Amino acid sequence: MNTMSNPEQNNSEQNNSEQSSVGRRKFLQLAASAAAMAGSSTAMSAQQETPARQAEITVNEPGALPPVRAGSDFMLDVMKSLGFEYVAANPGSSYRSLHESTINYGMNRNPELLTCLHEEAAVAMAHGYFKIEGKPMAVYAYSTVGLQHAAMAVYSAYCDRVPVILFVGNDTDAMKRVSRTDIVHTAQDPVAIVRDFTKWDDAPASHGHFAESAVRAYKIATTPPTLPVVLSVDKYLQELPLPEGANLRIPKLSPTLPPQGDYAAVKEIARMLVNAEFPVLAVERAARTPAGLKYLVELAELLQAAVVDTIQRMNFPSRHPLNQNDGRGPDLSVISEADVILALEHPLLQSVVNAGGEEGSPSRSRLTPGAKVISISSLDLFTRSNYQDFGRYQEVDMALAADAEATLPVLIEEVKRLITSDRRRVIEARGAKLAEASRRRMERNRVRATYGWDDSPISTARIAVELWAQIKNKDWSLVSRSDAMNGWPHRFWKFEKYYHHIGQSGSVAIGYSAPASVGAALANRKYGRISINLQHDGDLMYLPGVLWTAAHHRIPMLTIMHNNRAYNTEVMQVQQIAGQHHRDIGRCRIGTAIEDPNIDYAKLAQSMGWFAEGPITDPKDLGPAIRRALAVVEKGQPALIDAVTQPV
Amino acid sequence: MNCRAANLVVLGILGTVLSFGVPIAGGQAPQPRRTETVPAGNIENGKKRFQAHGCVSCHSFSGQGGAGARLAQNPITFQAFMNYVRKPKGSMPAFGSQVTEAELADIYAFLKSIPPSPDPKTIPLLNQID
Repeated sequence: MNTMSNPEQNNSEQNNSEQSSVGRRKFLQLAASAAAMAGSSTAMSAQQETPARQAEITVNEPGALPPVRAGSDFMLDVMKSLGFEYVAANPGSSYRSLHESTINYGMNRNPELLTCLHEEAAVAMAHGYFKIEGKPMAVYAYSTVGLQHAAMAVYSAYCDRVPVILFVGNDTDAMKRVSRTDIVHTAQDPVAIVRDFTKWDDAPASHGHFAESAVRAYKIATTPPTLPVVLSVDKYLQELPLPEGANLRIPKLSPTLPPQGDYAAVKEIARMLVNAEFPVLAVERAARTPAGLKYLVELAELLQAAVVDTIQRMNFPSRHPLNQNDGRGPDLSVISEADVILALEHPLLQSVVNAGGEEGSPSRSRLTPGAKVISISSLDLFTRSNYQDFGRYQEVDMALAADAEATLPVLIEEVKRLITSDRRRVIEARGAKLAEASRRRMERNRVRATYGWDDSPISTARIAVELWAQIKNKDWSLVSRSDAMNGWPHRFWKFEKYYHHIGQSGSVAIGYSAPASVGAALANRKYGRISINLQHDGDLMYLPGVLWTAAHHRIPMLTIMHNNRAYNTEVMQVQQIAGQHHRDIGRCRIGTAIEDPNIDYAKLAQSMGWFAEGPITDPKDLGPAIRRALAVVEKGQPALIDAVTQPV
Repeated sequence: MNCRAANLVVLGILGTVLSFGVPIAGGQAPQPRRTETVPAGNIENGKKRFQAHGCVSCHSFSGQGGAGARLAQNPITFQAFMNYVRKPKGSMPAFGSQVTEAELADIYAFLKSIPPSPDPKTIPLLNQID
């Protein structure tokens, strides 16, 4: 249980509690005086009735009030030391002092406050930002109502192994709660609601404690497995003026190096891979950074190994001949050919090496007898109990509790050392076979893209192809879910650089994509990249206010709606059940369709300051609309095209 | 009613996945084992019923496929089509008697009426993808 001790006690910067109390009273009096001076003469008379107050007014004339250094100023110093570029927030009174320190004391730079219209949007923006920038964004929120709103996005970040650092304001001391809001917006243990899906939390009881806990929080969040953390920050502690000469210290951040796999085990893995007839690399979040992408390509090419990528991260180039995922999900048939499977940061490995198993039916192994399965994952170092994102238990022949990306360089060197000229011939033959399969897959996709090419509503293949033609020679970044538009971008676009896509939500939750795309686009802005958001209609309507945030903060991005006017996956799910129950399948758009009235996404975006066109139903109109919208984006503004699409 | 849909079509049956007019392996035309009479179908009504029964969710508005199989330009025999809709395999919901034979005939006519997709070589945007 997190409890607050009296901040006036056991606190090196406040060895005189009476002084602190006086300091706070004086601050409030000064504030009251300033308000009175700026107000009516009546108010002034009232203030002057008390000699003591009169004296203070004489000393502190408006404009000459001495600056009060609040606890939240120091907290901001701590945040600045950690290098936060932004803090996303929906305003709340329990962190009003941190808010004010951010904009006035910190002059709204590093971190800059991002005005969000929902706490879930704030956290999801931080999620998307990390995927591009590779460092955490801070989030301010109410400890209770704010954190409750934020919880879904915290869960997504947790499932997606993304560090987000939340500072939540809480009115810890009951004696200081004044209003109804203070009372009902306070909890004894506010972080309890997200503790099952965060890595660490604390409720610092003094300013020094805050400094240590904030630096510790950053360190824990950014050590693989990277995950969200929360600090509950007492409202009173934020607002408490710091005494003159307070001796506060900000600890140095000492990042923890991610663990490499045991060297002897890595050598054995290298031997198994080099000697394998058909090794497969199964990857989920193997590439934490651009270096991880480079290592994975090097390892796969050295071995000419098939790569089964769930595209939760930009692990592997989409059009690489060894890539077995052409956007419709990984082709798991190669698992049945494999004699060695190396899984990298893959919590759902069980569903890769097994087929079936739905709804209690027994699953069937895809493995050939004798095939060896190896896992390297930092998730073996940290597991929570309640939420089941760790997946079903998978038997493996060797498990290394280590960070995959940190282990790859050693593994690569060992593989290089072991490849003989004989093995090289085998490896090259395998690569040629996989390359030919990849070429055939590409030609099949080219034919598939013609299906319904001129249809209205527009096919998702047409949208992907029209868009690719106009961005392929630009510096672009897909900032929405990487499987958007039914995976068509992955079939044709060349995802090669780490920022070319941001992976998935982690939680497979609707409502993530729109705000995450804005956060990622914000990170792309300073690099001058064109951010592309392929936006599901249902997802946008969870948090449409994020459109305003993008416009307000001048975040350039091109959003193309995948407007099929339904939660179509749910349509299909309910249809399947209706079939099982021998009931009317035709009624399954009840409760799943987003029509009658149709939402006009162009008008919605326009109302929040975006350039927008649509609804576009004729595919011939799409190319010119994209051209116009891209011109707007290249001038630094967000633009949206509402494309009415086929259901799938 | 579209008159084209009223045509009776005599079909050769080869299992459940034989395509009309599509040569089989070896390039020889299939030899019909028996003939099948397909009820007249109304294309416009078939299009409406295809939507009303929710087929579009998986197969798209013009039967081009998606989560479900591509139906346009790939028609199986009417009898096989009807059997499959009523008692499918896999994750497709079983329509049983929810859809009448007349409706199925209309849907079948609609699917048959969908023009072929263009050759990818004729679409410059697709050919620009290297």
